[in-house]
Amino acid sequence: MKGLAAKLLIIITALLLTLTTGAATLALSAEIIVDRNSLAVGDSLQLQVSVAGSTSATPPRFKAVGGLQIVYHGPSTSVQIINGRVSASTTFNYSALATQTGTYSLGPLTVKAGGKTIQTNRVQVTVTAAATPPVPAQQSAPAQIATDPSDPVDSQLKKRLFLTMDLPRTSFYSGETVKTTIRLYTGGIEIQDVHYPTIKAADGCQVEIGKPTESRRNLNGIQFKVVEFPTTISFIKTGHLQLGPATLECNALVQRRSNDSFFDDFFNNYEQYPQSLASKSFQVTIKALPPPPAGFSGGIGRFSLAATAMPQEVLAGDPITVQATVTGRGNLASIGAPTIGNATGLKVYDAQRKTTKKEAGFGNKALFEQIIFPLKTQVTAIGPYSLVYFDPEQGRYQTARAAAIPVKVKPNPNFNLSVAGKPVDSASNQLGQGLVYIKDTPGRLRLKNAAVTRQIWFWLLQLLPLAAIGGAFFFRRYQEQQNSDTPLARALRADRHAGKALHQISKLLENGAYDEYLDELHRIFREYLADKFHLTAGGITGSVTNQLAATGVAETTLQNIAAFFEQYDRYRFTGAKLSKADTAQLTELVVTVITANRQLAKNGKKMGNKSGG
Amino acid sequence: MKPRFTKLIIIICTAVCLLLQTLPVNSSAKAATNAASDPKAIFATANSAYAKGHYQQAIKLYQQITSQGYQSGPLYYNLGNAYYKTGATGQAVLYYEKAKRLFPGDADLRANLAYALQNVNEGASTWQNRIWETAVGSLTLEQGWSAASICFFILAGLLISVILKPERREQWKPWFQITLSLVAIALVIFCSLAVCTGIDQSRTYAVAIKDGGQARFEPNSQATLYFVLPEGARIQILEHKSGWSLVQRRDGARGWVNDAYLKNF
Repeated sequence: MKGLAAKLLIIITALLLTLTTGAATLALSAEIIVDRNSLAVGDSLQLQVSVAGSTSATPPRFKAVGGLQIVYHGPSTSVQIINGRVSASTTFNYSALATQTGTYSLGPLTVKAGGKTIQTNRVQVTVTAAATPPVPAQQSAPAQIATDPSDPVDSQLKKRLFLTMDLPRTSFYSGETVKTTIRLYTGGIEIQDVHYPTIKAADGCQVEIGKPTESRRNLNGIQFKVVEFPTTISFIKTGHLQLGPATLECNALVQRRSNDSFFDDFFNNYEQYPQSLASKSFQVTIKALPPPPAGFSGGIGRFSLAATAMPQEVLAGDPITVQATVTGRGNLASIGAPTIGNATGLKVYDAQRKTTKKEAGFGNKALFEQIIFPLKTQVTAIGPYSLVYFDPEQGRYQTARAAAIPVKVKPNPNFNLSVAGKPVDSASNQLGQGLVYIKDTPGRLRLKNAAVTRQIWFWLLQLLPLAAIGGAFFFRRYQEQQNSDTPLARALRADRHAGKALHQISKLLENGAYDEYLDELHRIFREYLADKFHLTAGGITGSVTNQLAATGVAETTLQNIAAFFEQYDRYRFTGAKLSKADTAQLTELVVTVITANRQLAKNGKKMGNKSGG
Repeated sequence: MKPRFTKLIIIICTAVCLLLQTLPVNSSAKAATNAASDPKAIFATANSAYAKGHYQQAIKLYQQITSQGYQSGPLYYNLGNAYYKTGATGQAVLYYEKAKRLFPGDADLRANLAYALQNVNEGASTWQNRIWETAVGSLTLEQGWSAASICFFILAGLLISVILKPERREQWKPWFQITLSLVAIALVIFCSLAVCTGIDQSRTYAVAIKDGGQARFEPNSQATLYFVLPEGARIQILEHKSGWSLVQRRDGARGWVNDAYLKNF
């Protein structure tokens, strides 16, 4: 028992060591990710530090940045198993509130993970002045709506409840997707029944409005609650069109004031004011794209490309999953996958989009996954990847690139390189040359349900041998019973034997051998009585009637038996001459007895059946 | 008594064999008569199209016969050939497998199936799988049960002879025991093969008809990838859930694959 425990301990320790070593050998990397690179004063952005290859990293600290207030919100970890290999990552989440205009640099940060120290990238964030909404200059500190009788409610509502929408430019390209935000400002006013905003747009563009977020902003000394609706606008036709205004329906709640402030405070006496808010509209021009170069991904915007591969050390013929991430601004929802530059020695499957079009539309990245099989051990890298897109700000096509990812391909004894690596196209000329030729005749064409095993008669037919075996068995038993020496068997065969014997001796009568006939008839009758009543044939004489009377034989039959033996004795021992008529009379007596006994047996059987039933 | 009894057994066995052979033929002949167009004529036309290299037309014609409800080993075999010629390895393997269920012993079929699968990495088969495939691939279900049925009739005849003529048991002993044992063994073997084939055919198998079917740990496209099915790979379907099938490869590896990549046979 002690030895077993020690072995168990050794195994567990070895497993733990293996797992720890495996974790340590994972490639470590760290990256700073921001949800946008520019924001206005008062806005906040989401900031993440992603550490790949470890779940035990310590959260890095950002140095104090003058115009940004950075707050740490906590980590999240994820572990993935791809083809039996474990990948792990930790993400540290922050938010940054812009307080001053300027361009700020975040990172590089030093991250400690898996006993190593790694550096992150550097990210630039630009903080611009706060957007100037159409707030009247004379707007003052949070006003008591309806407290100033000289200022009507509608006028005050317009100052404190309004809708804005921005556009970065007024000239776009067909196929371009622009992200904008519709903002609902409420300053010290309660609103309810807020509808989703809509944008009045011509046929030439498509608008999608996402889920709103809420923030607070100070404008000219008034604290506003801002509801932001992320919006993507895709331009699909060339020409001039009017975009907007964005409109939103809601009800403003305004407290009515009476002369009695006590009751005002006590009853909360609010009145609803239906509001139809509208932003300003824009006149935009949509231009056609210049002729695209080869490999154009369909992307219109400004993008960057990054690619990772897992695992980076494989056996030949094992799959590698490449994840290509396209980030930036533009039509991420409809952009095509990046293309691999060099596919020599690789079997490459089509890339598949992993982020849904909706996610890509409101996010800032599109993720593609591609399965690649290295076929040769000479493969040392996968890539480079490239993405050709159109930059509408520069008005020309650009190419985003991701460097080749180094991989190590080990020999795989179970992988048939020559077969699996054989490109299909090279064999297309001779496709099927090695096939054995088609059959000249269709064979036994038949309906799909016509198989014998699907027919009921086939299974019923299998009962036939069973029935035959059963029948043979019972027949054999009957035969055995007939041939045995039991009283019943003797009685059953007495009639048959007597009948046969009488038939055989009839020839003696034809030949006139009456004496011999009499002897034979006597013998047959004695044997019959012996079998029928289970007696000894040798000792049967006329006195047998005394014995038979006790067995229930009919009186008439007894008289016939007695008569036969009397007549036999007379002819045998007195020397009386026997004629043909006499033999017929004697035979008649025997037949009468046999018939009477048979009838008696039948009646008895019937009676037995009745009483048994 | 002996010659009469022997004659009876011979007559019964002959009648059973004839019944087995004639009844399906009659049903197929009847169906052929009822069919709007003669499947044999269509088959011949399809073969001509194939010979001229018009493989798509040949496929269309062969499919016309199957759409009438007919099937046969050579029909599926030819369909497999035609599909392979058009580069559709998955469909070719699918029809070769269908043909295998109808005439498993055909050497041409085995050769073409092996040829079609030479570029398909299906995963190494386990030894248990190889034994099972050999067992279920030797006979069709119909052949197995028919052979078992004939053995059963012969065995019954021998038993009846023993029951009715026990006194001759000693006389027949040398050959009787050998015959009885051989027939009993054959009956057990054929019954076992038929049962195994029946079990196998009650399972759902499929072929990857497109390249790149990704097998994942869960039935959704975001789940972790486990392996990729090449076109033509044969797999067993274990479970089905909202457009995804849990498949098992020949080496036992399991994963969820989108139904668009699979076709059952």
